[in-house]
Amino acid sequence: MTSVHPLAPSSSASTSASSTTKPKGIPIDVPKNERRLSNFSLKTTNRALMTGFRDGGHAAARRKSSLVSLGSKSPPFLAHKADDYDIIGALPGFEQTVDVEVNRMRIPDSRSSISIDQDDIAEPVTKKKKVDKDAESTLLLSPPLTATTPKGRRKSSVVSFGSPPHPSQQQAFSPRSPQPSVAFSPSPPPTTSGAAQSRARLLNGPATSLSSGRRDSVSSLSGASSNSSNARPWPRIQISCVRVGPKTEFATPNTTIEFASDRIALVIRGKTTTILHTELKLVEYYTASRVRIMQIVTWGKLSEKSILANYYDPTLHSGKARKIVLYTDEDGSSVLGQCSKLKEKGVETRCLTPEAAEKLLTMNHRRVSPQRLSQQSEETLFMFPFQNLGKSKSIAVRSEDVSRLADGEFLNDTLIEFGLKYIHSNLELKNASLAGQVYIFNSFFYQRLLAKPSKGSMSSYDSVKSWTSKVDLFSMKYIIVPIHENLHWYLAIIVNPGLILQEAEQSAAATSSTEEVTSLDILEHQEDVHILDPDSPSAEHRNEMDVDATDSKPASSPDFNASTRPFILCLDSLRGAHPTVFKTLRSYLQQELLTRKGVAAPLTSKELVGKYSKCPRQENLCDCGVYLLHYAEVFLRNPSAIVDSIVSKSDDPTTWAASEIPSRREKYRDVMSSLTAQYKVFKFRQEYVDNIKEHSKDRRDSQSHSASESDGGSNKSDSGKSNTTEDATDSKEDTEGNVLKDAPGSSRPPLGLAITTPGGI
Amino acid sequence: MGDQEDKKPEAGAVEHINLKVVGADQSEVFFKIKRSTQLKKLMEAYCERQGKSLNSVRFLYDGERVQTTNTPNELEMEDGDSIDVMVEQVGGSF
Repeated sequence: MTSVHPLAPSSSASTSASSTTKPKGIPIDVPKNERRLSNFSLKTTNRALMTGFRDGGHAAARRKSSLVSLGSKSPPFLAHKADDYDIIGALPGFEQTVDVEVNRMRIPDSRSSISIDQDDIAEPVTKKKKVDKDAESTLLLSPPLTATTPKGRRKSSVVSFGSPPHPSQQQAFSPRSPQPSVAFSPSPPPTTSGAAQSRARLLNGPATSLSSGRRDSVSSLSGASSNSSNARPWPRIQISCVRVGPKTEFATPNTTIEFASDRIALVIRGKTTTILHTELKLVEYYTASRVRIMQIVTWGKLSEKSILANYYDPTLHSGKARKIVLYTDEDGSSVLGQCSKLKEKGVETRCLTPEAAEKLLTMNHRRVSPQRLSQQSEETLFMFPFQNLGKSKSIAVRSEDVSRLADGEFLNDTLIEFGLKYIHSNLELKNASLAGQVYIFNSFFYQRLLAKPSKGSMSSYDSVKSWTSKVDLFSMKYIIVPIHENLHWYLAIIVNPGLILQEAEQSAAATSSTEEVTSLDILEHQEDVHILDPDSPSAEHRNEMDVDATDSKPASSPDFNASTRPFILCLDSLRGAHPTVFKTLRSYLQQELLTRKGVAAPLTSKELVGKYSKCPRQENLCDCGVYLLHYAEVFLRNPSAIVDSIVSKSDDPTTWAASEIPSRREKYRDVMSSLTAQYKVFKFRQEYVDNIKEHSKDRRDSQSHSASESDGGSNKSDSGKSNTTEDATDSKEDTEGNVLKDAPGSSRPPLGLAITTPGGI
Repeated sequence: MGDQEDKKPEAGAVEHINLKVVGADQSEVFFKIKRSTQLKKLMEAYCERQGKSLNSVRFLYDGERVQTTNTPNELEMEDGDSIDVMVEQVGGSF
């Protein structure tokens, strides 16, 4: 509850507040931007500063007040400074009970972090004193001085804790007595426990009172302590996004930058990165835009412990980002104020040019690092398929996605979706009727099915209900469901969902007298399917089979029945067991059946069996997405054979053409580059054709216009128009006479190519 | 554009539609957008608002990805329709 956090001068009071309260498990539910203060009295004799904002910490106010505190020459006690905050302290030996208002902050929640590598981010026991949010980090605090001494030029500035304060620093740091031992300063190792304990005492209650004797012991523990380690409400700016280099950004709530007198501290996800002023090479800012920008460049690398260390390295040719860009929504004046203060302290600061700022603001959030690809990831390499671009069915593939095809990279949802679409479109060329019987969900389908139902809806089915509004799943033969779970890709295929409907209807018919109606329905339904592929033999075949099945399913064709009973096939390259998948998909189909067909039938493991296959196993930790695509492709090459082999349990890795897998990534890379090239050509032609259409329309307009004026003028305006057409399409410029000759043909693309799109490969 | 919960049915009811963008955490943000405006604007506004990168999220309408160049007209969106936002999925094993 109290947020005394003596240890870290450079972390803000708020950080410490949230951090110290957290371990105690006190839920603090404070709406954002509405920091609440809690009152309690605290008896204290030591010189720890207890501080808190009263006003919720308005940046400007904070700045003002901190200036005061920084500038003051060690007054024994700072009275309430206006309405800003309190600094409460006491001279050694002086005992006083004070009311302390502690700024309570929300506990930072670290959800919604984007593009952050989750893998183990080192605990940032950075080069300085900071308080982290849990007890654990409290312990980390002390190690120390060695750790606190940052690399590089840091040496010039004295910021190690154990050492006696540098004169100048001391001035800056300690508003009070110069030699004051600070009870809670992060200090050499032995103190750790001492500091932690003292803090614990403080945490334990308002009544904490430290006698001077105890103080002495504490101070002896902390050795030569400097006042700099006192808690202090450093001026702080909320950061909405920290971007380090092209690919990494931290956009978690409660990201702040704090401005101490000799350093700045960047608090991201509860981890603090400190940069001494002497470390700062350049700070640039821009405040004229709605989102203000600060850009930080340091002389050397950050401490290894910093959360940013993996991404940031200003030294040449490291391949890492060389600038840290901060975006904030806060008042521009606070940014300006802090920058000017930095300038006063000798840090080079300058205002960004509007152009540079605009570049930063519009900068694509993620660009592929140079070693991966030279192109920008934002750029759409191609749409696939690009025949029907107006519709949303196609998928945009970016170069960043393609870079995931490199060996060892994890595939993302775009690649999976692209891969499945690609397989499907190839199937359409080879076997259109089969392709018409395959429905492919995207990789988010299962995720949404599993998600908790949103408020207001009864089940998660509602969240995907509209997805199939234009599709009749029960007219499909195979439904392909790519599944993403816990960083793993695998595949589920629902085989013969159409039979589910028939069986359900039959069982319904058996118990009711509506048999006529339902079988009529079935016939109509089959008719639909038939119409879809009127010429395809396999559609015919299927139709017959289905009719067969409906008429006398169990008796007349037991074999057929056995091999095509609907089931769910799970293909996991890790061969995991996935009962949840079966259960979830069954329940989905049951509700789909009810919603679309009005048939209420229970779907249990009896009606819809779940099966696994002895599919090839992945041999590494990165290829499951590749395996997923491979399974889908192999399955669709000859689905009935594979279904047969699975039903008869005779499938094995050879069924799945395991030998093709190693070359998969390369194959897809080739596909991607060829599609990219095709798409470029396609776009070019499309623009060209659009251009021509536009101009020929203009010409028609002008023709009719001039025709109405005079017959003789029409040719002339015609030629003029087509001349512009030529220009616009980057063709040669001609004399008017030539253009007149060419004009009639210019409504067609002169490339002599049909405007067909280069579809599948 | 991008005014949250800005619902004025009268003003240009024909031209504009209200769209609901539902985040992965079920949070809802309302947008009013012209039927002929590319949804890129909506996406960018949403991402900026949420502090996300456009590349890290997918917008789905009826289970299909919405492309930045799509317009509500093209997708035959209706007033009150919702667009789902999903976060990029990445998988290797584990």
